[in-house]
Amino acid sequence: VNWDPLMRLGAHVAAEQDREHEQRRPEDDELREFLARRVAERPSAERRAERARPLPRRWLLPGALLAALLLGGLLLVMDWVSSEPPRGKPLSFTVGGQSGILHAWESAPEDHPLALVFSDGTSIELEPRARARVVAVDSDGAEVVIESGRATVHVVPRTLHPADYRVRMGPFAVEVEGTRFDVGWAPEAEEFSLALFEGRVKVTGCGFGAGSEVPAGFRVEASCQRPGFVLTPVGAGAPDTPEKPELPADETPASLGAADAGAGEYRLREAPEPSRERTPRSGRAKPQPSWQELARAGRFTRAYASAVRAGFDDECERASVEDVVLLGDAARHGGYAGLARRAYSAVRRRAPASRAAADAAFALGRLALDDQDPHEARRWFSTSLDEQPHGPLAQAARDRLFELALRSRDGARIREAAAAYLEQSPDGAHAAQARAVGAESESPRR
Amino acid sequence: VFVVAIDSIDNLQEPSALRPWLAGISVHLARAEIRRRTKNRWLLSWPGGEEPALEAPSQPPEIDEALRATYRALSKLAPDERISFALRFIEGMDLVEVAAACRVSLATAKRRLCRARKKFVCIARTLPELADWIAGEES
Repeated sequence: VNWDPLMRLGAHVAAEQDREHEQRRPEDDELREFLARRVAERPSAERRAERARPLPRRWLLPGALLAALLLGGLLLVMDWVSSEPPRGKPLSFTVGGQSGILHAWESAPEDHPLALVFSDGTSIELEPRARARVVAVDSDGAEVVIESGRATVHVVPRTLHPADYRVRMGPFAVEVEGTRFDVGWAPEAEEFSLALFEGRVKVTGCGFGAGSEVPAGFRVEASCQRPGFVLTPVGAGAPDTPEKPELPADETPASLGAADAGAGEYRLREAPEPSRERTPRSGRAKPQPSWQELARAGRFTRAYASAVRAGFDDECERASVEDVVLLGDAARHGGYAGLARRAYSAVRRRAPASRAAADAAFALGRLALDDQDPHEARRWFSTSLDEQPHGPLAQAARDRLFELALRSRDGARIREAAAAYLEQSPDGAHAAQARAVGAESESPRR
Repeated sequence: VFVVAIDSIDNLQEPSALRPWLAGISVHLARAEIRRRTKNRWLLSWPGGEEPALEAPSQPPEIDEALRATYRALSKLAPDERISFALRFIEGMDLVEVAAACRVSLATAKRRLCRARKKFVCIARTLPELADWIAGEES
């Protein structure tokens, strides 16, 4: 049996896992502290022996009954809690039943729809020929770009903390917490339309300006080629809507100031100012987390948005260089490569030859890899390694440099990289492969 | 894993066996977690009636395609096969170590690995990201 291909794949996977692990240093530190506390709090040997002593027989039946009751209660609580995803862990999503890939364009076939389903139950069904991609996900929601076509969006409302989804189409954007609506975008005609069946959404872009709320039961149409927008009740001239919903009394057209609009057209009320929106349901203002806190919690999209609101470039100058590296990471994970580069470059300018600068160089190398620019990637990984040869990312940089050499298909460079790799990392993830390269290069001489 | 290890360190009789002992705990917990997730598929009722597949969480784009595809392929193997495969090919353990970590006989470990390899190669052939990696591999 030839095991080699799987061994090679396994070594590659292990190296990638190690690299991912390198990115979680703060978590490691926290874990170390936690384990140290756990060891310190460990009861003495006598106490452990005492605990291990079996219960008297008379306690067995009541104990079992109590355990059964507790288990039943726990199952009920789990059933309730399981309907909401855990905070802090990014949502996952599937496309047509397969695991979805961030930033990958997805097209619905000509004859049937394609469903994007998120792990919190939210679904976006692309109608035939529609095209979209998921550009960001965090624990509260996602950002989806619809390039063309129509889609039905069903964001599942949450009890513990609000969902935060954003659907973008050309210059228009729809912000939503929990609702059900149809949305369409025709890029050639720059025509935007939205029919809202439940909940409330905020639309921004072109005729909507800084943002307008659309009430349930209404359909709104707009285009960048004409001012304003047209608002009509769902069902009036909207043949593709499934049903005409009942409108709440306080959301009739009259209450929306529709009198001065043309026949069948109504005016939307302005969305609240950003400072007033999303007031906590208790009515008391809670302090908003900083972008640093959001980024450390892995909520990169929100962290990035918060930093942009505060002034991205100002933050790059004002925050500590370690935090600016974090800001670059937030921008990079959010898909904003240009801003990520600005943050990393600011770190390198502000603190040359520091550990943060080496981390920034490594991140710039990763961005270059994303851009399919191996020359630039090599330059940045080498810089990171030269500046911090014993730093936490040094091994990852050596791995990347060796992989880049392998990809170059340049025999001399591969041999040179293999020799350098073995010298610096004889136990590294690619050591076996580097040795194989060395052995291959020597074999013709024998 | 380390919390369990700290709490049950008294059970470790031979200090030199620390590594396989830790591997055994890891395997036990990994198997329990995989089974828990599989059970959740039918234990938990998902809103909207549509249950999302239990896939690895979305990764940032720079995460390697082969890594993602390997996770996808591994998720289709049975828990014991998946663990044996990961120990052998990703962790680089030899067969004796795999058998010890899984607390099975060497013959059982071999059979499991053989099944896992065959299944993995079959699945990998359907994934373009793994085509180059398994070229030359017998199914």
